[in-house]
Amino acid sequence: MIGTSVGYGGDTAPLGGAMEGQMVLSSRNVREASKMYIVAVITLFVMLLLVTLPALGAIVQWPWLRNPEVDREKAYGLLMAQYLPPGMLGLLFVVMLAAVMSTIGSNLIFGSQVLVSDVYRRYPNPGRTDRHYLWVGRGAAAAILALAIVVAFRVDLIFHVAAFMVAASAAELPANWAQWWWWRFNQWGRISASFGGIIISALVWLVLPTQVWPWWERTYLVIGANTALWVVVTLLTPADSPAVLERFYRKGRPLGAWGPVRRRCDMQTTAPGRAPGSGLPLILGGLGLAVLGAVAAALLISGLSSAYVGRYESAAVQLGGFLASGAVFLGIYGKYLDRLEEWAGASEETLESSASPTPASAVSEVATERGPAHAVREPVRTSVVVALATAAYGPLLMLVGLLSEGRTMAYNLIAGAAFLVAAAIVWITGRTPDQADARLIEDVSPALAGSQADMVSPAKMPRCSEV
Amino acid sequence: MPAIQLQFVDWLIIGSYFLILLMIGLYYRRFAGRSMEDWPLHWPG
Repeated sequence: MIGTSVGYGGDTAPLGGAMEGQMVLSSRNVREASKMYIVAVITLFVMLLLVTLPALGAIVQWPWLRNPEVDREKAYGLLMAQYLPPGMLGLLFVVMLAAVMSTIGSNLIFGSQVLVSDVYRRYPNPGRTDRHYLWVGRGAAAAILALAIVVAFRVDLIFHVAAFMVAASAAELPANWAQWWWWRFNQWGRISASFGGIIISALVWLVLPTQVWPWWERTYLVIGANTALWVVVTLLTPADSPAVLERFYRKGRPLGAWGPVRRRCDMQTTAPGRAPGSGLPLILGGLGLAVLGAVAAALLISGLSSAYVGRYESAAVQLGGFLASGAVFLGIYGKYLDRLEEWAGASEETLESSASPTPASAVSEVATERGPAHAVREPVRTSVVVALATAAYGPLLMLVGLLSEGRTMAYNLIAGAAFLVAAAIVWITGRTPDQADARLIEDVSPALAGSQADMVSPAKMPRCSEV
Repeated sequence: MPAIQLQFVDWLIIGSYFLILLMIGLYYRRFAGRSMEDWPLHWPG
């Protein structure tokens, strides 16, 4: 929850962050990207209730599941067999298949992509054809899948895998934060943190006895050892070049220990409104805000769980705490974002664009220079594909309902209607961003047009000393 | 202890899932080999 609340530093975190970097990059703007964390925390932990609450019910229904000797992973299957009528049973199988396949698929793709693009293509074997890298990527995906299958057959309880993954993922957290808050962090620190976390986790899990070292203590040990490793590696290797650091600082305006880079840039910049210093109060305030949000989310989950098992007084207190802490969080959150934007001042890129505005027509001119690419037909909106795929289950489930009777008929008819409604919602809400795009493009300001022209045809970013 | 008994309608729904996945895959296969570079961004900023 700490990682999900504070953020994984834009990492493609395999756990709670769930491909955080992708969600940040696909957000409309910086403020929307920061709101993604709130949506992620609430949806992740509320969705988890779909697993945890029935599991609590299963323990009540079959008390022998409390016995650590039995296979407690059977609980969900027992619930399915006991309560789901025909049709709903197949639907839940499909849901479980979809959840597992989408998770495995995305992890295979990003895992093989990282190995090929960030390691293989960059260091041992650059300059080969795309076809070569494609096949290496496929091989890497097959190797990762093979390792996963070996792990799946060798573990007794899936929780052990989750605990190991928490340790391996958390080992990188300080490095992910350091890449934003410490100018000295470099690519060798990144590599040592990424691979060191996995290696140290594996060593700790293999060497330390589980009876003496519970999983959370081993996790803290892995975090500490891995942090020491990447800090030493970073300090023993050269810093990134001043040009790279200055370009990153000018674009990102990071908080934290950026003293030398900040001094070089701020001495020469013309941007007004910049606050001096590291912004430490903003970092501490942001961490406090993240803790407050995490407490609110925890109270929501705990309160709903208490209500589910009939502890209504406890549930009322916890849900009251959720409402109070949630209200305080929402009251502070917008103001905190305002302060962050004030601290960063006006973007130097925007100032440059305003000083020499690019006509909106230049965007299309730059785009048309791209040649026949414009002739490529775009796929339909993703929301249309999702809506059609969702709608397909509506008539199917309703047909199953009509062929059944009693409770089975009712459940399948309701589920079929729900799928049709969900498809309609996806279709309708999927149209909205396109209309917003059209309005924005009509009203596009010269400054925005300039920045898009930069995106379409990237210009060389001037160094601070050249501004 | 209850055991899961899948009936024909359950298999029908599971089979439909894979059929829908196949159709989605065949549709997007028409765009295989393309990249984001082929579609200039419409988003201003």
